[in-house]
Amino acid sequence: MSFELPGRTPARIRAELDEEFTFHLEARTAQLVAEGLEPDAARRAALAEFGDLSLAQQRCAREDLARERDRRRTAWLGDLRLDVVHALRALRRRPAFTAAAALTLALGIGGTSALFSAVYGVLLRPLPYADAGRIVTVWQTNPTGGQFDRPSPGNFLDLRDRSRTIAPMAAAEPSGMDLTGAGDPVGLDTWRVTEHFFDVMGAAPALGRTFRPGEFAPGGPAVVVLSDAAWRRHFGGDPSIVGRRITLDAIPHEVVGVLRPDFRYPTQGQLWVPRALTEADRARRAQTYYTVVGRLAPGTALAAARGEIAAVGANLVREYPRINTGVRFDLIPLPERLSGRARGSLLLLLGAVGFVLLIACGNVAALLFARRAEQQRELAVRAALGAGRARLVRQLLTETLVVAAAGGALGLGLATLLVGAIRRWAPATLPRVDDITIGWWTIVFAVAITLAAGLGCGMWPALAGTRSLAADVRGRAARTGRTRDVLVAGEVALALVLLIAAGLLLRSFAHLLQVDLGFDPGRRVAATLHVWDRVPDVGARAEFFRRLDERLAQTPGIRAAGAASSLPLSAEGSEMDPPFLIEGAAAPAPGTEPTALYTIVTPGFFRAMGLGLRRGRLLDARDAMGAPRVAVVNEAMARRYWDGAEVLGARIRGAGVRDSTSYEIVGVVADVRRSGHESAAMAEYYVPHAQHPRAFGSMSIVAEGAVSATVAGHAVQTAVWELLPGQTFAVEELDRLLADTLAPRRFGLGMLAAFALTGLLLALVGIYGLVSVTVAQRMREMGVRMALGATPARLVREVTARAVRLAAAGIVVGLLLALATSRALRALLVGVSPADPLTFGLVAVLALAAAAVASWSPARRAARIDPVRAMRADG
Amino acid sequence: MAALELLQGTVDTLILKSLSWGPRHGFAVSRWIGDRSAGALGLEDAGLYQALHRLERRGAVTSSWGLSENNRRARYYRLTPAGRRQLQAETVTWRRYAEAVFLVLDARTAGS
Repeated sequence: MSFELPGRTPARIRAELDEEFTFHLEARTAQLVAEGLEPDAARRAALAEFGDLSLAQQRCAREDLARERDRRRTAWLGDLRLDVVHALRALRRRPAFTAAAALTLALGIGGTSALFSAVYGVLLRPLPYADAGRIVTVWQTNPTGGQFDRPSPGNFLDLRDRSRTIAPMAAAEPSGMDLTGAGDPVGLDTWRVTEHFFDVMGAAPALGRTFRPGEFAPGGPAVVVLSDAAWRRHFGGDPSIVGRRITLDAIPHEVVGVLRPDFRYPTQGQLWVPRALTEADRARRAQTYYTVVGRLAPGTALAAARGEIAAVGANLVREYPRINTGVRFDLIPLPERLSGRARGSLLLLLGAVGFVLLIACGNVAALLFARRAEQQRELAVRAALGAGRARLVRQLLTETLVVAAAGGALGLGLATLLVGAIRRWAPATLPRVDDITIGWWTIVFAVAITLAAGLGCGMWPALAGTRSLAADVRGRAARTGRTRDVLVAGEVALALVLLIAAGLLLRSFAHLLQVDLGFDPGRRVAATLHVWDRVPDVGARAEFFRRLDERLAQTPGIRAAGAASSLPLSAEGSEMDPPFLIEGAAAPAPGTEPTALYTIVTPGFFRAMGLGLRRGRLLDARDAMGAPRVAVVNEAMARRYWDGAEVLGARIRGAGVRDSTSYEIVGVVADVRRSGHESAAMAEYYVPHAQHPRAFGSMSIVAEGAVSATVAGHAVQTAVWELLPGQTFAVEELDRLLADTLAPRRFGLGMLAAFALTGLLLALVGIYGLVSVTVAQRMREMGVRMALGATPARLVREVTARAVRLAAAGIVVGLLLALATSRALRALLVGVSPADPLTFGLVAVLALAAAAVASWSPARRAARIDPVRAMRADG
Repeated sequence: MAALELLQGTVDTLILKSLSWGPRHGFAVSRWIGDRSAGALGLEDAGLYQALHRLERRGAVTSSWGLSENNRRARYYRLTPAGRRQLQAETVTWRRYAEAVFLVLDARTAGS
């Protein structure tokens, strides 16, 4: 600590200047008088000679003030340097304290920094598209449900042509193409995009160019743009790829460009090809599968564009009532569309890890309190030497910040590990996982949190430690003890909130797993074949699937097999949702017909999926071409449209003009949750493939393996290639697909559980520390009591009981906090209320038990006190 | 002859020189410069004091209050080591500059 002379105030500076100038003027005046001038004349002359007095005063004062500022700053920096050096020395002498504090803070800082990186990557990081805030996605609502659907081609064309506020507008159609001639034949995910798609996205290619207008004319040149991944994987990153021809679907396509690695719209596709739209497409209004994007016209606000789209949409509803009745159109800005769904969960997790940081700070503050008590003597000496309270507090805070900096550095290392773990285990539904990295934002955040934590933990102990350095030491210990009690109780409360949240989610998860899916995904594989072009003849196609069914049934390793136009869990199939009519019932107004999921199946399908029959019969071999047309409905459909009445024997038919065949309902099967545990069962009906007039050519094979899904998968591949050599298709395991639907929940639960357990551990450490300190501080008192006859066991019980009571108080507060905040989880809970008494009660009991164990261990030390030594000890 | 006006940098050098024999107050510095230059250099006192305070801020001189010859409180300025070094360097530069100018101005013919 340096001795410093007090600085000069502005008033003092000005006074001294006055004195200096006065001296000069008087000296000059005296000189002139000595030369013979009259005193008044001399004074005037001296003044005139001097020059601009007030200007001189101003300028000199400015220089002096600046000098003061410089001096203060140098002194401050010098003090800081001294403090830091002193702190480093002191901390090295107390490695246990330093390590404990730094590691505790590292946990909190590392966790929060990692999660902030995730939040930044997914929600805040700028998208790789130019001015992404002005890109909007266009949606139409499903007339039956409230959900958002992708617009149909016809609606897209009209929207595009009529909208002034969104220009340009483009669409992307999902597809697939087979690449041959570059290694094994492989199917690549393809996006067929309309004109201006790349202009809307505003993404410049890495190599070459994107499409030119001439390439969108029907019959135009066959061109393709590759994704970075596809370019590297299938063409070895060949720098001369632009201009080369590759064979897609047996047609040579010229590669005109390669996109940058971060271009992933609409999804991580591999190829982009032009889609020329014709007037025929304008007539297709029922199929909703176009991803439509557009850019807001310059100067247009989102609200204005929304209004215009809604108005254009209203016109479309009027013009095409059959298809568009009840449909509304809306816009979602691209950033929100991409990340919006993850926002809630991510922010929740960030809040949870924030709790962990608070608990960690609580422990560090307790450590600091103990250290201040230790430092009393040193601080007293400094105060006696003239250090002001502010100066001492500054020194203590510097020490705290040095520890915090160490914790922060360790925390950043921890954050790097955690971010790696998040990237590895993140569910596929978490958008922009590749954007979750450690970057400048992580460091800025970590530095800010370190400062905040350091100041937060350190301020109170520093103030308390310097409050009254002459006061009685024991009195101060008692006050500190109470503060420490409050800290520990607070930590327990926070940890409890985390534990209850984790508990509620865990119960939800368990509840979900018990939900009956309606089918059995175990040991089953799915393989989707598109054979429209390979088997163009309708009769041959029907025969193909019949033979495939037979072939698979005879394969060892496969217990049952079938095929369907779309399977639950699989995204590869063609989900169809057409309107239908019930014969004999009152016909609804055109455009308001009910819709149900319509699946074309082979007879083996039901057994292969493990789909149970409820009434009547399943479809079988007798339902062939020429036989009466039949269908099988599920319970949901039967309940909804024939509630109570007899459904077997009723007839339904499609409401579209083309397909007016009527089916007789011959059976009712169980409901299926198509998208996993959290989805609801929809109305569905199944018709035989053999009776389909066009022998539907996109069918998903499902096979139940006798032993395992892998074996079944190989068997399916072999069987298909026997009948159709070289056909490309992907094999999916239904078990894995099901696990994928649960992955987001599992991920969130895993993270929350990790945070909750960390928080609990930290709180238990806090309790342990508190009891240890209490025992140490009250040694003398306990020695006296033991000497007077108290048994060690009694003392241990007392100490433990006190700590447990404290924990109980924290638990009660925690329960109330949890009750107030668990509402935030409501959207994520399934089958469990946010105030579930079982979870609350169980967590409270467990926490109490843990606290008891944590306090008992150090309390036992009280039993080993030697009364004589204790009474002689200090304090 | 009218007093020559001084360039700013020169004032600093002159002040430093005047302090090189020991501490002086501002009035003494002003008188010494005037006497030494036989009145040719007209240095306004206002400018002189500004220069003194500026020099103090830059660390070339320091000041302290003391008693003058007739027991009045006056602010005395004193050279610091840094100021002494600055004086040496500036003196050398000034001499060289002046010699070079003289060489040119003393030329008798266009060629020599």
